[in-house]
Amino acid sequence: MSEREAAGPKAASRPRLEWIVAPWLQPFWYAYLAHAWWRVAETTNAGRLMSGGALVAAAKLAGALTESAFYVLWWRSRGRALPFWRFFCVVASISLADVFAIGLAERLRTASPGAALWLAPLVGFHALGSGLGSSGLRAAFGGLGLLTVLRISVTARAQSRGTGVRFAAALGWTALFWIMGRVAMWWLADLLRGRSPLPVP
Amino acid sequence: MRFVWYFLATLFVFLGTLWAVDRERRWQVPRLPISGIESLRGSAAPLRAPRGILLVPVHLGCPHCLAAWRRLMRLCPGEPSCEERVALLVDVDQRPSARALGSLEASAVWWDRRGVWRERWGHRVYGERMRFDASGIYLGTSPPLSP
Repeated sequence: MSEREAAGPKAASRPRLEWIVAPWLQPFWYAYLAHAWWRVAETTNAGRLMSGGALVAAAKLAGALTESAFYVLWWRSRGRALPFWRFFCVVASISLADVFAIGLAERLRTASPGAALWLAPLVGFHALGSGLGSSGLRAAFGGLGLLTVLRISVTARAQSRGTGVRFAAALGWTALFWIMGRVAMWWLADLLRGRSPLPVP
Repeated sequence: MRFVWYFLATLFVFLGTLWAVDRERRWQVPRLPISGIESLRGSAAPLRAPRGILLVPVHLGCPHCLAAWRRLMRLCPGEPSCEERVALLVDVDQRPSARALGSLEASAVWWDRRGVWRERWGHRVYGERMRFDASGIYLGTSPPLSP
């Protein structure tokens, strides 16, 4: 994927990534996002293991900041500018897809097996129970579903608008980095657990 | 800037190599009695327990696994007929003091001074529940008890 390939015919036109939330509304919006993460963490294993939702909300915020900084640096190293805070706003906002997926998966624990089968493509195969795959693999890829695909696509779209590269190129890089991140998570989870089972869905 | 990408790529390859090497290691199947175990409370070989034994690796400096142990002592849900529960002190180089042990509510406490749990069995998560039958044969492991 060369720089020439990445730059489409519209690359010459001025790239534009608008605020997806009006700046005056953002403090309330970020407070709502933190609250959503807090609530979902309180009802899942993550919150119980990490001593509460506050820590999970802070970790998600730090994760969104890191992810935004990573892509800004990546595009800068390829000679393209991506506005950090506007992109951060997209990354933090689309994390609501994860909130929705985790909340749905949590509800599926008490639902019928048929419902889990239907919703697994949406929220990921961890909805089908803990019997599938090793626990490290499940921790890394168990949440891969249509909602994750949506999140990756929205992130790529924002990069495409912000930098002026073609959507396909932005999507390719975003998907590649997502897969690499998940593979690293799989390896790390396996190294941390050894032969022990992990307390993950 | 390039240095950052090279560093991240190197880190990724390094992690993958560590994972591959760790995966190739051959671990022993857990079995009781454990050689080199020292009993700090109770018998070192309570193998005549007819309901089997639940061995829980704990570390006195880990509040989460101690909390999981306390929950297990209070409730023991999901464990058939509440097997005899033994706390296995792991990753402790020196014999713990009586005062440190006082915080551990248990009728049987063993000290894994040779690091069998980590180095030979390959287990790494504190608070997990390792089940053995009455003759010491390993039956399986469950994750730590959630709150």
